[in-house]
Amino acid sequence: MTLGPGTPSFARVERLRSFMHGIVQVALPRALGRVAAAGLFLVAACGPEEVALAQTPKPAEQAPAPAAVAQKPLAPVVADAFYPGFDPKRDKLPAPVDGGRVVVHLPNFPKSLNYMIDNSAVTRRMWNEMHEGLLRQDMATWEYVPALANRYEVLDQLVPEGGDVTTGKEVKIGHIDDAGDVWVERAVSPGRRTVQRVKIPKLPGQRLLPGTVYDFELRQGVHWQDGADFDARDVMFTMRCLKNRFVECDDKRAQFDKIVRFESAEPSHVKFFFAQPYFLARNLFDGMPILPAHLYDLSDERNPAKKPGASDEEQARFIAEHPANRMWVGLGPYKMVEWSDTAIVAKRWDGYYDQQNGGHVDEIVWRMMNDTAAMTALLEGQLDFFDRMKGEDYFGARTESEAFTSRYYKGYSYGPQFTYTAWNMAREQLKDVRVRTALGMCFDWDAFIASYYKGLAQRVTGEQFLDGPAYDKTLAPLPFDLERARSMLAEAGWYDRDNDGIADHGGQPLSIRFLYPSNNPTSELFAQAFQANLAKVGVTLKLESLEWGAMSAQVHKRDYDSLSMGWITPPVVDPEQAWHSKTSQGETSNHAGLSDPDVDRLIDEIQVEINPARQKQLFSNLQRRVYALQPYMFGVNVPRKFAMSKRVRNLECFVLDPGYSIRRWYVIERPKK
Amino acid sequence: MIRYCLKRLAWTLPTLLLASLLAFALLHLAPGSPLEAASDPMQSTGPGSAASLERFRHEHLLDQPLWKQYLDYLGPFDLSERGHPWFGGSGERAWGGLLTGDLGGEMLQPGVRVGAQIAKRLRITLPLMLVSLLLGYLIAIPLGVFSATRRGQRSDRAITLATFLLYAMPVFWAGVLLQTLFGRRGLEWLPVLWPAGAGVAASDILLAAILPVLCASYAVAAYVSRQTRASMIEVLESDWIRALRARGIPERQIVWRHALRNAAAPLCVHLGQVIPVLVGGSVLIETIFDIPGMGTYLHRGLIQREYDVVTGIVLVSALFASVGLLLSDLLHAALDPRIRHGAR
Repeated sequence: MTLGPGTPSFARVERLRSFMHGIVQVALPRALGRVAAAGLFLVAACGPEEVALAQTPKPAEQAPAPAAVAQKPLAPVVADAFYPGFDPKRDKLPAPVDGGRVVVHLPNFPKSLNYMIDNSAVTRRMWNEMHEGLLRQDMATWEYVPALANRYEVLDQLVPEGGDVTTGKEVKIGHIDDAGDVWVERAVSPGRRTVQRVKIPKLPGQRLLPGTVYDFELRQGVHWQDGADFDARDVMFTMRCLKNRFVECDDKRAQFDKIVRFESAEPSHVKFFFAQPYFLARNLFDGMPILPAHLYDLSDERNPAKKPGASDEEQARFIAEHPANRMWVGLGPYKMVEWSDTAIVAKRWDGYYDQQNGGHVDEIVWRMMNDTAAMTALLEGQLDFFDRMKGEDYFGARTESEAFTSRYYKGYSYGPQFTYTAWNMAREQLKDVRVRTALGMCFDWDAFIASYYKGLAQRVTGEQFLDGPAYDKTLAPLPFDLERARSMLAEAGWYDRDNDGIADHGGQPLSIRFLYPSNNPTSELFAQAFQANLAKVGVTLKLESLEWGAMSAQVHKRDYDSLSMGWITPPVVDPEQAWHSKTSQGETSNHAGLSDPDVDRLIDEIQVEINPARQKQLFSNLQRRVYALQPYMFGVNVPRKFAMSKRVRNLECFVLDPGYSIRRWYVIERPKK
Repeated sequence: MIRYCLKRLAWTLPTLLLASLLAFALLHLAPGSPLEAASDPMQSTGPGSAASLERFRHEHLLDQPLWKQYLDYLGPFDLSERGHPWFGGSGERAWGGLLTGDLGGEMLQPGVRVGAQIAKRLRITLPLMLVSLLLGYLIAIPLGVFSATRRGQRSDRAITLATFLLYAMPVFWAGVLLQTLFGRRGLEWLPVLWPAGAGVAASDILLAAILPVLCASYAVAAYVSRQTRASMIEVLESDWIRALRARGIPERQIVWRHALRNAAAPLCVHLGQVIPVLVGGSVLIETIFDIPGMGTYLHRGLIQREYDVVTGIVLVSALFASVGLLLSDLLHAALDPRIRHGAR
């Protein structure tokens, strides 16, 4: 039996999907409405954001976030939504059981388990279970909840003329509101009630920087997995590393450079100062790769390899070559026990500070194997979870066989990722927006989604997650219209002058070199169909399939007319790296080389806008502006297709990467047939 | 004989140097570099900055001319910034390179030495290879002899057809067939993937090794059996065999004691040819059966453009091939007195 349109299984999956989407479509606007209200409330009150929490973080106790637009969940997460015979609305999950082990597929080994220097998704996935940040973005609710922080407070800075936020000189810090003629500083009680208001006269040249100070009180009694205490020294050392230009963490540094000052007055307190409001500030504290200073800091007395006075370069090299990069010592519920040539193994660690969220399974085995071997392993029952199923396997006979269905079930979930074709806007033939727009009309995405993806893909019109709050769903994608494309090309001066079937202009035929990765059947099929359609409007698409290393070299050199790629992003991504003119040259992620003043202005405004409603509007404006310029032919969001062992329960599919949380899973005996 | 061996071994050194030069040059001339190969956007939350890429290239001399990179690889002087003071380095790591016995390090995993990794992985690949080779010969020789003694008969034709089919069968296809047949989808007799995780029992490893060994040995068996058959037919048709028969020596004794010994000498030559083929085949076999051996290491090295990994494995393979050829020559000499005396 295959899972295709019209089959019972497909109908069941589609029912679930429409159920989920119903929630998204109905609940999202309401949720955003609440967000907007919260945002307006925050603006009106310039509200205090002191957060007081019990030891176990509870989302409900969080203060509303200033950038709440980026932090609200889309829909209730349904556990075991695809589990055979299990109706999430009708049935109850079996009671959690502690023990057992799960074997989870890894497509490739990380270079290192030190997320400071290895920015790969696989490292991040393992850190989810083996480490903690100051904050943790709850996978289900998207709230940033204190993790290593016991509580935190977001404060404002009032900078007088001549004041300097980088040194703190003459800067007033507190809960400060702009009350028209005067500033009002509010003293706030632990219950977040304003207990006292003090008026501060407004002076010329003063600037209020709202939400630019994050004051964390660290959790007491937290230990590293080797027994050392966790305290502010670790956080301060981490920040010094992020500022150390020799440490290989440029991708993170670009964000952490927004923190212009950090200080720790006592072992349990750390403060971070931004030069201006940043809409993803909390995300920084979730993703901060905190390193154990007692192992990595050469100036730390506890470090066996201590070397007082070590240079930044020596410190960076020490970090890059430290053995703990492979045998990670973390703060999370799972402790690394083995890194072999085939697997990385972590065991549940009893010293984790939050045992209630400390995971159920005793052992996690991340098994590294290529996708082909992984499918074999699935059919042999040697994997519990595999989330890189190809369409042909997901819909194919192998996953309908007894060998598969007796042990596994399959499902899918949409995450923030999309495919695209980037047009190199520096190329003469692609400079005209009419040409790019015309090219964008030459592919029948609806037919491709129906035939190739069997309906499991959605068109996108922007870089933000299509079910996320920063994405504008009202922006309609370009239609498939070859006639209109032909006339647009003609308007741009490209039409067939010499009757050879190829549009030309200035004596040059309209020919485009199209790079795509080899061993990628989807890209190949897409490229061939696109090529055939473009030929109908007189455009020659020269296909060039390259192995990734070779393709990447050309991408870095910007030696391409167009290329087919994909991005995995956070649900709300800072658009700077993809679209800002300052990234339009060199080895950056702005693969189209887009450089547009309106886009720049919108990005700059988004980055400092903390009012959710205004921010949403800015995101929408940016999406529309970028789409109008067509630097990309935006492709589709393809869901992650997974296979899960029936003996593992409580699989929740999240939007946030990696889309699941192993610590929530538990192993039960395999149900009898 | 000792002088002969020493002479042969001495020739191995320039052979290895030439192999390292070829591997190095070909790899570096291919498009892409380790950092680009590793910055797969689907695996990374974002590529490193331009400055980071530049630093990486500089640190690993990728911004230097190819000859300088090769000299650095060759040693004994480290030519990097941390290298020998004679070449402008800080002196922190003055010596290094192939001539000091150092096969280099992985660029993407600082601190991981290629030599240590190869040694670790050889502990898996080498036994698998040797057992496969042994099994291949153990099957091939009786089969070839049997086929030769029944030349033209139905059994000979059947064996000929079977060995041709086996020889033509691609390893990756045979591997998948074996997995399907003996795994849980089939007879459920054997594990089809290498065991992973902490505390794997030796018995599990032995069981998991059966299918890869079968997979690696069938082609050897098919090839060597054809060679055995051809050699045996040539020997069995010679005059001195006819003379032995005329003396009334039993046919069994003629075949196994006299003819096989003479026919075995050319087979030893093939031993030297089979070893490099096995090393090459280990890439496919180890990938199919998910074995953490040298083949998968080579595969990863090629994908990630880890120059030192690939060059190191090419060197080790070349060494195996040289040693295999030397061994086959020695065996040949041991079996054939004419060569032995000629060597003297």
